[in-house]
Formats: sequence, structure tokens, C-alpha cells
Amino acid sequence: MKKEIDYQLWKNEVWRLKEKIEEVTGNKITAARLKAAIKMINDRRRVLQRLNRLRRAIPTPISGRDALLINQISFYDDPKRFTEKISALCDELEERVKKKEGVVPEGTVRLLLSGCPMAVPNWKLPYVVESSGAVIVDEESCIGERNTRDLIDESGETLEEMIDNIVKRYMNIDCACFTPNKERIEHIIQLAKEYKVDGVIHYTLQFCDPYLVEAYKVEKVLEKEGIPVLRIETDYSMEDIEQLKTRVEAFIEMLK
Amino acid sequence: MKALGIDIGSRTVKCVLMEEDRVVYTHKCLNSYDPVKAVKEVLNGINYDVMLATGYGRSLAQRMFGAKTVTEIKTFAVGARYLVPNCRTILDIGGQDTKAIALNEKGKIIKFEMNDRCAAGTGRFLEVMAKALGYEIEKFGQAALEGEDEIQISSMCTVFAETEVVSLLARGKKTRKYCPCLTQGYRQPHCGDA
Repeated sequence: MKKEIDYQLWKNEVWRLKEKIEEVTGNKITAARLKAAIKMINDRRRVLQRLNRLRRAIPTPISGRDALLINQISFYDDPKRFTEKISALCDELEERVKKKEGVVPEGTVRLLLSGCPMAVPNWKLPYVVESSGAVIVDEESCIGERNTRDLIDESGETLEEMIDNIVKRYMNIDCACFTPNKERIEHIIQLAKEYKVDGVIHYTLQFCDPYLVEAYKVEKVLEKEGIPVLRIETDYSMEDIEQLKTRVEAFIEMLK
Repeated sequence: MKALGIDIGSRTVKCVLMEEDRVVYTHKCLNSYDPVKAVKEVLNGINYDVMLATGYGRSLAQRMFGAKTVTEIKTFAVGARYLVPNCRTILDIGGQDTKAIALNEKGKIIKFEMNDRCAAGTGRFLEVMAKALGYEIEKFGQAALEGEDEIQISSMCTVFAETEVVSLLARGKKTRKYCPCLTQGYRQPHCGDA
């Protein structure tokens, strides 16, 4: 449960982080600078939201692997440049959606990837999925939807107000490290419907126990909703690739 | 039309030749370090019009022989219903993994479970244990049903379980007593799921 005391604890940490950043960089975090930075990072989230909305089109205009790469890059690219470039890409994709030009033919099995974040260079599962004849249309993950869904309230004027808004935004996250975290499962169902997916692949990075535990609950609820689920637990290494292929291909065959 | 189905598994290569709805030929051989050679051996002298490959080597057969491919899970579903039309549950204890498959009343796959990278719970585990106790794999299951359920093996890992069996044998325990505990693991987790 996220209680008031947890917000206080988290808020203290954010203030300590602010001081540490000032100490390490020698830059003072002022109200004016923080306001501009909040706007800049919100803009980056907005452009990624726009990209994801375009992926709802049938046929989808961009592969899951490309979209994942874009989300991965968003963490370290210059935010202004990134927002500009992805905005231009979205303009292009919008045209493609209008012309019904998909990256895969209409009727391709559409999947939602849900679970642990996939950081560079982790493209194993998307590679297996998309080379087996399906397409990933959304990532319910911290490198994906969960990172871009919520904006920070931009109305704060003082440093205190702005930091409060940052605290609230991050505490709102439905990562499996929170409990009972019912909102995550509701959110997966909502995404599965919005993106018109045929199934969900729940991915757990090996030894990430919070997601491993939640996978069970996710599967039970989605099955009740009539949404097929495949649970995968794997890591970055390539030794289980053939086993993964068999499971993923069989799941796709089952959905066809 | 003659249709050939080939299953290139981790331990064996199997083929079935069908003419219309009839099975006209079957053959099985051990797989080796050279799966292409094993496949050629199985295919030797067979005439067929189309080939469908499954198993871990299915994409190899696609590249080498132009076969169409499908996963073992789907072929099991189709094959089991051909042999047993009202079948709803399939348990495949393979060399590299064990699969439990649930079918709906029409024979469509509704769910499957499969172990991943570990040899625990696979057919290979049973093979290793049967060999350690001096049984042929075909007779191991029957021996398990007749054995006395006294000894507990605590390791699930194929390597550690074999070590455990070898040490127990060295302490003078009788082989027949092991079989139930070594096959029990299969009845519990897999059948529970299915």
C-alpha cells in the first residue's frame, strides 16, 4: 500500500538527490531551471505517447523492435533533439497509417509485451517474437508505456511545489515492486483492448522476483478476461533461444 | 499424395509417411552430433511429395530440404486427435523438455506449459537414471510401479540426482527401491498442471 509515510520517505530521497546532483555537477537547481526541465522531459514523454498511439493502427506502422530501440535511446539521447526527431518520425508514420501501410500485413498476430524492462542490448525476446511471424504493438514496461504514461504536473511554481509534483508522479508508477499493485493488472487489460492484441507475453528477467510473483496473478486475471498469456522467464544470454522459439512459435500458432 | 512428417528431436529423429489418411511407413533413429546426417539416414529411400518438419531441428530441415515447419506443440495436438479423437490432455516427455498441452473439445490448443533450459523434468533425466540403475528406458516405468517407495532422492538436477543415486548404490541400497521416487516427479508437477 502506498501510504502518506511512504510519500514522505520518498520525498526526502528526492530532496537528497537534488542536493547530490548540485554537489556533483556544481550547478544550482533553481525554480526556473527545474520548471524548464520538467517541461522538456514531459515533451519527451508526450512524443513517445504519440508514437505509441500510432502503433494502435491496424496494420501497425512500426515494428516492436524499432519502437523498443526508440524507447531505449530516450534514456540517454539529448532530450530536445530526441523529441524533435521522434516528432518527425511520427509525422511520417501518420502518413503511413493514413495510407494503411503497415510494417507487417494486416492480420499479423499482434502482441503486448508486459513485465520487466528491456535495456540495451536486450532484444532477444522481441527478435524471437517478430521473426516468428507476430508483431509487438506495445510494451507494458519501464522501458515503454510505464515510463511515458504519466506526466509531471507542470503547474508548480516554487521549488517545493515542483519537487512535490515529481514525487507524486514517480510514486504513481505501477511497478511490481509495489504491492498489492492491482492497478497494473487493470492497466494491462486496458492496453490489451486499446491495442487490439491477440495475446500477451509476460516477460520476467531471471531473478526479478517481483515480476515473477506477479506473473501468476496477471495470468489468472487475463485468462478470465479471455486474453491468452505466455509466461517467459529468461535472461540476456542466448543459450535458451531454441526453447524460446518453440514456445513463442507455438503461442503464435495457437493465436492464429 | 505422399506426405512426410519428420520430427528432429534432441535425442531421436522420427518420420511418418502418410498416403492420404493412412500411415504407410514409420522410422526412428538416434540423433547425433550431425543432425543432417541423421535426417538423411531417416529419409533414405523414401519418396514423398511434401515434407513437414517439427522438433528442435525443424528450421534446419527447412533450410536443407525445403520442409514446411510447425512446432511440436501443434503437431502433438493434431496427431493426438488423429489417434484419440476425444483427447484433451497431452503429456510429451521429450529429450530436452517436457510439455503439457491442454486442448478444448474441438482439439484446439488452449494452453501449454513447458520447462525451459534445465534438464530436470525431461526425458533425458529418466534416461540417465534408468542407465544408472541398469534398466532399459522402456522397462523403467513398469519397474517404478512395482518398486517399493522407501528411498527419497532430494536432487532435481539430473547431474546431482545421478550423483545421489551412485552414492546410495555404493552404500548397498537395492536398485528397485529407487524407481518410484525417480519417476514420481513427473506425475506430480506435470499432471497437476494438465
